[in-house]
Amino acid sequence: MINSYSCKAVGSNTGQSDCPLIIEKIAGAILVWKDFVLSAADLESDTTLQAALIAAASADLKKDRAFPVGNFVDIADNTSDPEQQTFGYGPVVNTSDGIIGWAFPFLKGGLCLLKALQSFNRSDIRVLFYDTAGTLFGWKVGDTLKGIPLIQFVAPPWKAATGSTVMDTRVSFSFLPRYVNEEIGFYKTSDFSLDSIEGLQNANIKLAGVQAKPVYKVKVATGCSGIDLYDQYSAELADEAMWVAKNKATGGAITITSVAVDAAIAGFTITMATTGGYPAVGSIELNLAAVSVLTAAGITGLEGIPLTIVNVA
Amino acid sequence: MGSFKIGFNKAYAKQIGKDKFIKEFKDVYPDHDLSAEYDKIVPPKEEKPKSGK
Repeated sequence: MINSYSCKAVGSNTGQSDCPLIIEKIAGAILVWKDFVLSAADLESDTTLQAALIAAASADLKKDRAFPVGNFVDIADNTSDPEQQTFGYGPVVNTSDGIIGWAFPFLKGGLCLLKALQSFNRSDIRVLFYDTAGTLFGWKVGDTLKGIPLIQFVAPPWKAATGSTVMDTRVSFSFLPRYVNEEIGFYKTSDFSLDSIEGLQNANIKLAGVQAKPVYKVKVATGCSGIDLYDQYSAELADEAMWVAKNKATGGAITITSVAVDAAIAGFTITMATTGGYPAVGSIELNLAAVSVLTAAGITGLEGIPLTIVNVA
Repeated sequence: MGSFKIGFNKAYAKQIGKDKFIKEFKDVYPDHDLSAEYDKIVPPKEEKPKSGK
């Protein structure tokens, strides 16, 4: 209808209950991709939410994965003041709400975690936050919870320790205030700690000992910290189903015929079939199986980082 | 017989048969009883008792 418009209803009742929502100190964040969503079913109970977050944090594909970052030890609130315009007759009005800027120093994880977070710089990552009282909050979209769209995510270069301070590692987020005000969505946990949702660690594979194709000797250690996984998982990893190999040039699968514990190197002997995709001369990509396969076998919290093996004539 | 754990690819072992299995792995795992390992993967068929007719 011409010259007609509808006004959005404004105002809400301001009566108070005895149990107000107070966001406590922000203890951690969960980095998620644009398509990540916690559905109404996921938010039904602590059990369903915990299962959804664990599944997201250990998803096989990075594009489906959530990346928890806990143990924040402080906040630097760099939120900007609202922009204002002053009219000639005197009135001053707000023209924008400013931009929220939160930076969180962390100690646990140190440089290893910082390097991992820096890989998200300039990406389209989003974020859910949680506080010390177990409240998870983000952007409410319908009856779902999504990550807050960020103007900028930055894990800045670390700063050196001084006589009075330790090394400074931190992560910072900037975003529009509406996502944690008018459009905030939250879930209050009571039966589990959000800190218990942990991110995956890299498991690096490296050659060790004497190689005699198609028999390879390898060791496995956690990524940045380099903790040897032999003692913890030698029995589980001595299983061909825990490994995958492919021809790096063609992508053709290579059959792993056996995996054995090699105590002499605190590692594993891996044999491959010389049929199928196996290159007598060329590169092989050897990796651990998918996260879900490892997890089902009791190898938790790890994702293999592929090793390239070059077969020469 | 070696005591360390070996995870054989069972489908591959069945595919290549016992003789080739032993031949393929004897140099890699010389201290293991590969015949017994194969029998664990593919249990030998029990001979049916003759009917006595």
